[in-house]
Amino acid sequence: MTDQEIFARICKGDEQALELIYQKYYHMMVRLVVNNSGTEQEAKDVYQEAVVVFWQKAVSGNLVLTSKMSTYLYSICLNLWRKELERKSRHSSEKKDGKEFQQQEKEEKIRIIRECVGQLSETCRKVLTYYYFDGMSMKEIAEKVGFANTNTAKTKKYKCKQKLDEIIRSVYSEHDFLD
Amino acid sequence: MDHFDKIEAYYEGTLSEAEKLELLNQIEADPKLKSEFEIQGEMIEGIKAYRKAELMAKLDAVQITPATQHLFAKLFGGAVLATALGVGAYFYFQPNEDSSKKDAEQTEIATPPQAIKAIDNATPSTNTEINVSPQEAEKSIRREVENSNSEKTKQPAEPTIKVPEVVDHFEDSQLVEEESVSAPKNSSSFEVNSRKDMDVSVKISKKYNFHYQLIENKLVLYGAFEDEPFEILELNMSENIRLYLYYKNDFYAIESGSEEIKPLIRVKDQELLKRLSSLR
Repeated sequence: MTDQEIFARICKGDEQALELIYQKYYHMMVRLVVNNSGTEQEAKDVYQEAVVVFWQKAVSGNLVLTSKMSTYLYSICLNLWRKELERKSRHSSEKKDGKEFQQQEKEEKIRIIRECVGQLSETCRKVLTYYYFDGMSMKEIAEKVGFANTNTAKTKKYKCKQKLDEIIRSVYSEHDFLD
Repeated sequence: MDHFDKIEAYYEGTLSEAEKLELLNQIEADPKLKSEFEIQGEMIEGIKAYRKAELMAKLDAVQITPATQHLFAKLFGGAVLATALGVGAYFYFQPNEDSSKKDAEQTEIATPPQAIKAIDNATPSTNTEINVSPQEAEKSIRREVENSNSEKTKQPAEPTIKVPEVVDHFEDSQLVEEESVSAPKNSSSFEVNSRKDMDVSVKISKKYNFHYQLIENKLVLYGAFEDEPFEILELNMSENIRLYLYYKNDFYAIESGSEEIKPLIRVKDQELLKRLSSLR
């Protein structure tokens, strides 16, 4: 299967095609990080994040590939690793301040919400993640999940979000985040 | 549109700049609305984080071949490809033995009809004898006679010799009617006797060709005498009994009194030939 064929499948939301491309360029991308002061695990994390970014852009229709897929992935990996190196450098030279604390607090909130999403039904999880992360339209979501039409998808999204809000509020009260 | 819808629209990016500004001013003025706004934002961030984690977990589960195996697979694949190309090129540019064998097999398969045809043309069969030269035909006939005679030698049988029937004593009128045994009218010294008990056989011998042997009542002819009919004429002459062989328009004398194998000698005496011819 050529890269163009894989890319076309990714654009249609084929997750197996994403796994194919991940497998194909794994060693090349990991070598990039490892050869630039990174560990194997860091390289893996960076590469996985890069592939996810690539997926997000491709599925949402915001990516027009003008170069080879490997070149594009390489550039994402390189940027992500630079950011990570900067973060590590900043982390070692600066003391934790109030801003950093706020960032950690936000990250913790997001982690709790992520767990709340996991408590939703599979359909709700799909509708919300496809809409907010993958950037799919209501029509695409209706086709992918198997709804009768876009209105059904819209209604489902509204109800799922309400359900998530309920779960989050109950969890927040437990953790006293709202106080 | 209530505040919830406005916040939703804000995160979806569907609000105009004026609507955005208005909402942000309201949020700054209302702490409860601000809290709602933050929760909505964090909810979307959480959904995104969930999806990101889901995708990364899927990627993490993908089986990756070790780099050494990956390299080996590449090298091995390259080697296999190179070998395949080499072998392909070899068989492409070299004469293919298999194909020649196949050709041979095909030729063999195709040969029988041709071979049969060739045999038909080369081997004189009963149908093709007409096309064979006289010399070849003679050889062929001789071979056939030899074969048949050799079989007959093994199994002695009554030779298919047309022995003229003769009578012991016959009148002149009968001689006229039956030419084969007739005697010259003007020859009173000739008497034709029939040797009914005479046994005539033909033998093929490498040593003797066109010979004869007379042992009492048994005459053996050596040679290919069966390709054409022959006759044995027995003449009772005044002084003795003389035997003659008629074969291919010639007469040959057969002398009695000796059991030796002798060559057949053609009769050249014109007077005797006239008599023998008239007797026939």
